[in-house]
Amino acid sequence: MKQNKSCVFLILFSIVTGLLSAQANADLVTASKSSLLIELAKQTQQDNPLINENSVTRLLYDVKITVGKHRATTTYTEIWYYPNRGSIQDYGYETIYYNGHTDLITSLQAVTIQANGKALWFDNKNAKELDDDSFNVFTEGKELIVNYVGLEKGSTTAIEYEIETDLRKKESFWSRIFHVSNTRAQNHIRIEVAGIEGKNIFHASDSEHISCEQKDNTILCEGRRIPSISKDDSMFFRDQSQQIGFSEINDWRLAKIAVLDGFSAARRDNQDVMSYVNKLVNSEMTPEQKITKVHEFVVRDVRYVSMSEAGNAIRPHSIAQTLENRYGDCKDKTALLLEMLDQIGVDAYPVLVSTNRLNQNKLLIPSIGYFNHVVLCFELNGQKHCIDATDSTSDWRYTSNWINGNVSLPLVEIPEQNQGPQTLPLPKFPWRIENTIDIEITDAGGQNEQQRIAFYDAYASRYRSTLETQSAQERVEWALSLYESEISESVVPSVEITGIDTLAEPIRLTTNAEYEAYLSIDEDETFLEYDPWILYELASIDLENEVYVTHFYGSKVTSIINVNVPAIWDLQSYPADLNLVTNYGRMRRKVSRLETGKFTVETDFEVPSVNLPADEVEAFNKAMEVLKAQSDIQFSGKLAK
Amino acid sequence: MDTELSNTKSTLPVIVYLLGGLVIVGIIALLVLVKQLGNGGLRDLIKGLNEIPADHTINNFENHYQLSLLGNSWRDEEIGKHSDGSALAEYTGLNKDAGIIVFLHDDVDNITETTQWRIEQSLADIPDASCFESRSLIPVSLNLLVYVECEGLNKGYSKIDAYQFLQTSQNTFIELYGNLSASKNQYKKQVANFRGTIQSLAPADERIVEANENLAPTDKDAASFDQTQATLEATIDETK
Repeated sequence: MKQNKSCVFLILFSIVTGLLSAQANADLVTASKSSLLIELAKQTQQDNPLINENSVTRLLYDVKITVGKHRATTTYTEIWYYPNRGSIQDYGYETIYYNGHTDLITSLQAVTIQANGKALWFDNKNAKELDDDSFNVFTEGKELIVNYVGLEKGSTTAIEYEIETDLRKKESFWSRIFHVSNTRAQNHIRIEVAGIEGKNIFHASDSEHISCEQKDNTILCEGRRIPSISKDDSMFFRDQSQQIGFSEINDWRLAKIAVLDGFSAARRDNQDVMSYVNKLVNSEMTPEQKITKVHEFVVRDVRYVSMSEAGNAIRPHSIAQTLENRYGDCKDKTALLLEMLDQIGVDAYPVLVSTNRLNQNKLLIPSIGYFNHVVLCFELNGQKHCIDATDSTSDWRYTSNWINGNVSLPLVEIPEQNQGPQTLPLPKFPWRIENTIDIEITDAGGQNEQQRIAFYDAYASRYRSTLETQSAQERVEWALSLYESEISESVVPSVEITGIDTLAEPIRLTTNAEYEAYLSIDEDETFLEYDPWILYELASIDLENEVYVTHFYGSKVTSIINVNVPAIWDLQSYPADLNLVTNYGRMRRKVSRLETGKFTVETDFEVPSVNLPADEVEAFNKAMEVLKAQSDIQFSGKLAK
Repeated sequence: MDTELSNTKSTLPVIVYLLGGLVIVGIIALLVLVKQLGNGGLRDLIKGLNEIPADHTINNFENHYQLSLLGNSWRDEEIGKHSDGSALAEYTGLNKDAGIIVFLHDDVDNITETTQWRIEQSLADIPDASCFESRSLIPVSLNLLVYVECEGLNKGYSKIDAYQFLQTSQNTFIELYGNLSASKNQYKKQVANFRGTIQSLAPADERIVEANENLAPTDKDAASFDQTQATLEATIDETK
């Protein structure tokens, strides 16, 4: 049920093994065709008799890096084996990710060695250079595509390139993270990093397959036969892969300072902001009302556009510029909201976030490259609030579900606490529904039904996101579709939706339906109703992980169903009270009898957020099945005399 | 007033219950006989066959349940005294105002059908009764515990039918069904013990089995018996 959303914040630093930061300029240096590379490829293949004949295998990944005062030079050598046509179709190319502002490729050579030993060289003129941008996101990110030529079953490819990075153009310190486990098997990994010109390099590893040694200021990490990483139904690759990290700093506080400097600079010119804030709030407002005003302005009146080109990879644009443009990315909008909150007396701080990491223990060494997003947090009346300024559909009191529980780095000195990465709070019940349903059985044996459903928090955000851009007719169609899928196909109700335009409100859906006669009014009757929104939740809870922890985001439904049975029947039996408590959630139901023929069924359904080990998934699913099996509302009436 | 549980039926073929009941009664009788002969002679034996000590807890490991007969004057009855003969056990108590039956249901697809059927039965007997049902889960399991009660007046007597269903496996339930019928004053005195007795139906205390399994090798007399669950139960009673 979790959405993912990421800002391009720091995208230039999101470097992983296989996503190699490299550089290509318009004049790629034509490499001399090195017979050494061919020999290396042949030799590597001969040295690996246990090649997997079913899937593509990386025979060698060899990286050499020297990090100097102003320049880092990285040489990559990779050799791949393609056992069959499928692997050629899927993996018969190399993508080199690089930064057009800081990186320069000084050599590139790529060759295919066919099964018969024939070598076919890639012509560098055929390399395709692409922008890494996407809709509303503009960066210096580039991609260079190298399509190997002459690939056939049993071929081996070898590629070698060197990249020079101008460290003076970078906005932060040098660091690199290598994910040494991959979805494909690897036979040999070798990574050598040397600090020169007095540069110290620190490293950390959690790989059981790679061992590292440091001599003077050179670190050599090497391993062989690294198995592929297991896949699972729900997982973040970065939380599971084994990693080696290198960084020129070993103190997270220095990383914080590096980013905070940019925020301070962006907020320096704040005169226009003051006048905006004065228009939005007044002295009569409570702190909560003031926050609501400035929050709504930043998330709804400053649209999301990312201009993360040179100089603004991690540094926000000036808030004056963001205000004038009325657009910005996560860091721009966060800087603006920080300033506005500051001006109404709220002491907030920026927090770096990784939208694709939940395991803080995987952040081995200080690096900004772990993070791809920024939000802000503050405390109000003893409660911590975190706001994603790019989320235009959530109230500020609710943290966007795509970052709940994610790895973060608060850019603030936290007294007596770990200064390194943390996880953002994970609410107990991000998905929350309240419903009141009136069911009146008619004298004719039909039913009049009114449902009043309120969708909160993650649901409100999700549905508001869907509905806010729709026309009135499209909204009605959306509601009818929901009713048809969750309640009944046999009737078309009238529908009303409110709360779309006010972030502090839940999305409220009211439906009125009249069902034609379906009961026999001349005999005893057993009535079967159900709690539709509890079933709605239970239907979406089916965990399937077999290997890794499942991060389940909690659900809560509060249901009231009022039943009115006509005097045709004397009620004989009522639904059961429930007190079903499992290790993973509970369902409590109280049946209250009112005047003749009327009763109310109040049900609380709660399954809190949990990080569930794979060996508990079966027990969790069984618990949900039991709750589902007991959710029916059955009662009986005897024909009145 | 004598209890009115005759012709109460379980959902299994009568023959299954008859055979099961006969086997269990036979074993219990044998064990009680051995116990009583060793302790006090035939007179005590006959007395012991019927009367049950106050607030006595019975553990039935074969069918994985236990129940506590609260109050005094409970008596063990022959199978068929209150039921159609398909019961696992039957008791009379609370000055003969109450009768209870233990049934085994081993083919239950939907427990709601069973509870509705019981409610219909009770309403036929006590037309103005007020019935309610509550369900919970047995702690540290996903097995259901269902309690149903119908209470009202019948011919000037206060009357209550109560049922507790204990799920012991996917489609298997133990049912403890009871009836109390008495004058209003007497009813007030007895109903708390009656409800408590019905609601005492719970999973058998398997720790007792484990404890006795550990003791068994040192008990030569016990070792001479066939090591069935029933013999273990008898051993427990002796230790008490």
